Amino acid sequence: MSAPRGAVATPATLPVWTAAADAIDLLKRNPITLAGAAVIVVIALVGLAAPAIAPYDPLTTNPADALRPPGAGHLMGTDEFGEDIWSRVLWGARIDLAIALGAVVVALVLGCVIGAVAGFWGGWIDEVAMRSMDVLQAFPSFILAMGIAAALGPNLRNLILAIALINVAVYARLMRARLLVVKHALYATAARGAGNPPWRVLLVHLMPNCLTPIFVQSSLQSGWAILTAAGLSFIGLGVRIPEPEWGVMVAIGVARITVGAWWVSFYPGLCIALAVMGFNLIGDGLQDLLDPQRR
Amino acid sequence: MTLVTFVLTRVLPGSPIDQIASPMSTPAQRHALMVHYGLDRPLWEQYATYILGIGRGDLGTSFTTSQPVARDLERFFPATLELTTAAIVIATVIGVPLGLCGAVRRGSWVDHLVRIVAVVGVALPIFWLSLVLIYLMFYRWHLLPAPIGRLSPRITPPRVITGLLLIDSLLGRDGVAFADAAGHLLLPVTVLAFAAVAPLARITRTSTLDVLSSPHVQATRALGIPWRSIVWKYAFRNAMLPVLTMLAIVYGFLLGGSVLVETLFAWPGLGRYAFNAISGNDYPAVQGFILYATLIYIAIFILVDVLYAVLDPRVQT
Repeated sequence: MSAPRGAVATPATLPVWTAAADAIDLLKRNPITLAGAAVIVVIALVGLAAPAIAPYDPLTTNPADALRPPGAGHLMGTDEFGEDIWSRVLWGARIDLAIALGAVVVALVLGCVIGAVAGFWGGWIDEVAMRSMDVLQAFPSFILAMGIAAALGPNLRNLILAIALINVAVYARLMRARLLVVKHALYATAARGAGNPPWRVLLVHLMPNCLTPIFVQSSLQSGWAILTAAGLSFIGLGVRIPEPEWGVMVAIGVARITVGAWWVSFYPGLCIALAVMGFNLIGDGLQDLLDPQRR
Repeated sequence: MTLVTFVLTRVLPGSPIDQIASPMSTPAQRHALMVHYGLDRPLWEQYATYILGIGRGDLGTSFTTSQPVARDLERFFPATLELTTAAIVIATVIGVPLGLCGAVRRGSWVDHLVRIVAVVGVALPIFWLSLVLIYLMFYRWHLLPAPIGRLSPRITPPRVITGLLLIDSLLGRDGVAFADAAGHLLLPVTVLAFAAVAPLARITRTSTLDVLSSPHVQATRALGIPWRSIVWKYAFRNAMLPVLTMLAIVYGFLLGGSVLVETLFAWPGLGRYAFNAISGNDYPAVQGFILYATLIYIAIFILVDVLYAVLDPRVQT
């Protein structure tokens, strides 16, 4: 607490707040990033409101209404079980955003802790931690995710874990690299000199100053998490039929595409693409903000 | 690495015995099968046997196909190699010039195109893009053969030389087989290439921009060397280094993507083999696939490192 806050060049206020202020400023100036943010906000709101606005129950089958093309009554048509695709797409927003959020938070927390510990204490801890991260990254990521998801068993929680695990290394590296830079900053030495125990210096003084690149990464990773989750669910290693997850919904339509029922797969897939694009646009915008040279 | 794949597959839920044994079999028969496949021994012993086997090029025997996994993988590898290689070649031929043009003419329509491709290309799920294209090209417009396998059933496959149908049919001067194989390749390759163009164009653009603003290029400009030869003689080579790394990363991505695309196109390659193995709790096959794909991935990274040493005099071995 006795760190001389005003006296150092690096601002010791939480960079999160300055980043938030900058982000709002960026949104005003950059319409493409704003569009990305708008897409994500809309999907999030739709996901939250799904129970209220979906016209049908997403899991109610109705064989009499199977494979209806889009039109009156069923905005996006029905699948082979007669489930209303529009309602399922709305519910899907909830599941897919939850997966993205869950996977990113788990990976971020694990990765930050590993990276911070490795960077702060160094030595053999650093060696072991970083070599493990090397091993994780030696696998092609989707294939490793497949392996983990298959090993843990196909369900929502394990899907989130699998996607999180393959991303831990990214966060660990970012955190470690930043930490090595700030470790010897004046304010850290000051905090140490004031008698703070090491864990406190790390947690309170150093880690908050390493978070900005990690938040940028999180936005990009969220889009990627949705894509991976949908891919894994598509091959039966994630969320299972009949849950209204977008990847599963695309999978349901596979058998019907060659008889012309395009709508079963088309709309859920479009939602995946929109969500991923939204997250990527936000991530790109934030990255430009951090690195003016890239503009 | 082998330990990771081994532990991963051993904790797979469900027992492979359920897949091999008939539902009617008695517990005694099931136990005999367990003993036959060595599944009754402790995990560490199974692992030791497995590692010793790898040393001899033996990846175990698949529970479902009853063939040695190594031979299965070898048999399915050419189909995947043909698919991913064609995709990465096409993606490079399109993506690198696109990124280069975008960087050299910053703010032009090419530059905007690159940015749009970069955003859209990574966002479209490849399994969905495959379905959309199958619907349009096969169902709607009847432009391409049914999306099943590498050749139509009525075509006699060319004699196997490399296992790559395009090359084999060319070597055998078989125009019909070549056209048919190309027709079957077109859609899955387009889908994979589309996803790969985005990261390649993007990294080319960024790295060219970086190089063009670097001191050594600025110095050549100050010396009055024509812009064209600056770009080609001085900037291009340096800008290609990060692109090489990206190529390796993209290849790993394509190996993963091949699981999705091969499943959809009934493509008899590694990806579909892995998909079937996972659905059938076939440990040795899943392990073999993950190991094989990772080895290919690492081999490509080593190749890239070697190329780095060739291209960049600063890298000394």
